[in-house]
Amino acid sequence: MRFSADKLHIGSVQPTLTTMPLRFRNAAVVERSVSRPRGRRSLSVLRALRHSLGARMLVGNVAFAAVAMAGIVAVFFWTYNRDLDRQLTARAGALASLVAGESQAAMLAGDRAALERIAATAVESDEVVLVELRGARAGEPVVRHRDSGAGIATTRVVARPVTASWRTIGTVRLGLSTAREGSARLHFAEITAIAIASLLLVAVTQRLQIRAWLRPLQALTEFTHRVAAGDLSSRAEVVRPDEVGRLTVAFNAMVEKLGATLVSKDAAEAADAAKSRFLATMSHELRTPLNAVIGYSQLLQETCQGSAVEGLSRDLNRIERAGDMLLQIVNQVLDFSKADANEILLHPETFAVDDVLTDIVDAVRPMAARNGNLLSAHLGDCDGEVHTDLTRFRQSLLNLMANACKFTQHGEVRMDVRREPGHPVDWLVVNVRDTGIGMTPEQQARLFQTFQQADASTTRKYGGTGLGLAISRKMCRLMGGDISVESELGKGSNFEMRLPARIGEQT
Amino acid sequence: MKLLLADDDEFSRDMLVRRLERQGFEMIAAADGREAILAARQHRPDLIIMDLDMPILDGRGAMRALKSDPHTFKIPIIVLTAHAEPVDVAEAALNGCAGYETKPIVLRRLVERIQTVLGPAQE
Repeated sequence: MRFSADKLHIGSVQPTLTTMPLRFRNAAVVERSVSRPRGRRSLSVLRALRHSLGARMLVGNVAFAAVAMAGIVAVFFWTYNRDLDRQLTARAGALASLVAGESQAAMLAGDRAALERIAATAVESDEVVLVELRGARAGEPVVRHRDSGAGIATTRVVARPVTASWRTIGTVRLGLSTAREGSARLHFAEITAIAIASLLLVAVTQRLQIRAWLRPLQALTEFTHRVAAGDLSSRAEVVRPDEVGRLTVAFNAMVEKLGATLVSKDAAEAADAAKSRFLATMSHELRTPLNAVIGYSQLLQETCQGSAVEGLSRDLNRIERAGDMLLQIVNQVLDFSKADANEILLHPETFAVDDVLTDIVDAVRPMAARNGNLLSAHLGDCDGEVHTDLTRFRQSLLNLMANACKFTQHGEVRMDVRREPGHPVDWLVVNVRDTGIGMTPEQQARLFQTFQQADASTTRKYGGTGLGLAISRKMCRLMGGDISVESELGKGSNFEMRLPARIGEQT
Repeated sequence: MKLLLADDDEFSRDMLVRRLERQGFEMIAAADGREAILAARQHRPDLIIMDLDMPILDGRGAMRALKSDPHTFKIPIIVLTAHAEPVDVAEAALNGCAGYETKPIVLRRLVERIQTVLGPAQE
């Protein structure tokens, strides 16, 4: 089937043979050499043998039976033939001896009339078709034929000397018909026919039997296709407890296990989604009273503006700042749970990169100043527009910059931006380098995991949820990019954010 | 200047009403979308500040009702969103809103926005 398809294919592209890959050219050569009718027939038999276990079993069994039967028939023919021949020889010898004995007196006497009588009598007997009596004293030999035997084709001729007083006085020659052996040999044909017939019977029963044996295997194959198509609920029927039956049992067990695994995977995903929904709801619920806390502290600050109460305004400001921090954490948790539940939809828009980058640098400038850091931005050849989700882009990069400022004391934070030509779109590559505390390789490995900062003591010292980088990376990956890090403990870190300069609308 | 504030959270509503009154606005408060519609018809405020998540009738439903009523469709609306979701922002623009503010409210920014929206009408 495959070959005929190949042939069609090759036939249609033959004019461009020279441009074909080598493999196809070889196939064409092979095809030509087997395209003669005889070759194709033998090929189809070979293909059936290669592709069908049933055909192989059938051919094997029938060939075995044929060889065995041919052997038996040959041995039978050989011994039967040999026995017939021996019997004929023995009978002929006995008859010849008898005639020789009868003829002795006549030959001694030279009595020709008596010899002719003996010959006439002998030729009358059942098998004898020729008698020739040659006596030394009887002149011309006496010869008698049975003339009625027109259909007698073959004869067996034996000769016996006639002796008297240890001298040979004549010869007896008898011709015996082999008609009886001939008719016995006719049985050979019958036996051969019976052998061939039983061989055919063997072939037919074998074919039926093999088909019955292989039927469960075929059913199992169809079942496998159903399972592959996603039907995990049905089970294959065990027809007989043989090898195929055991295979079926094992296969059913596998399908069951697969189903259980899928079910537990579904359950895990459902639990995960429930967790994300819970986080989203919780953070939303937390925000409402938090907004009130922040709002009322602002209200009070407005109320006591210019009031004489010592330190009240400062304390209210602290309440407000603490509320803001808490709100940021809650917002991060919400963002993260949304990203985790894949509920974030991108809203790409076209914007000028350098404006956004300038905004971000301005936003982190106070943080850098607080830690005594030198902040610099190098917007190389990145002038131009980018089409991506502005909010997520700003959020991710702001987080990287804020981290760099947070974990660096009296050092340098430097942002480098470049546009890297790519296919099908250019890449926007932003590097955020700092000369801060840096990280060990183990810390770097844990860095992007949820709720992980470099280690627990970092959290105590620097604060924060440890969600920032996990969220940033998730956002970048949503936008088709990624964030990677190189760092050395005590020397600083280099975060690299790569984003496609253009992403499509999400549907 | 008469403003209508619709917000279901009592604390947020009270806090914002008092702060805006200090800024010299006359305030009317509503606790859900239906109240907001009734108050808008009765008092004819110059501007409505509307929270999106409210019981009985949410901000979206209330806005649709207000915009389809010939007596109220001219009143500009500023939407309050809990979290600046791009979806909310796009929706606000589609519904003919004058703008949106995110919670927590930055009073200075809100007042600026109110003045921008009301500015041309005053002149």
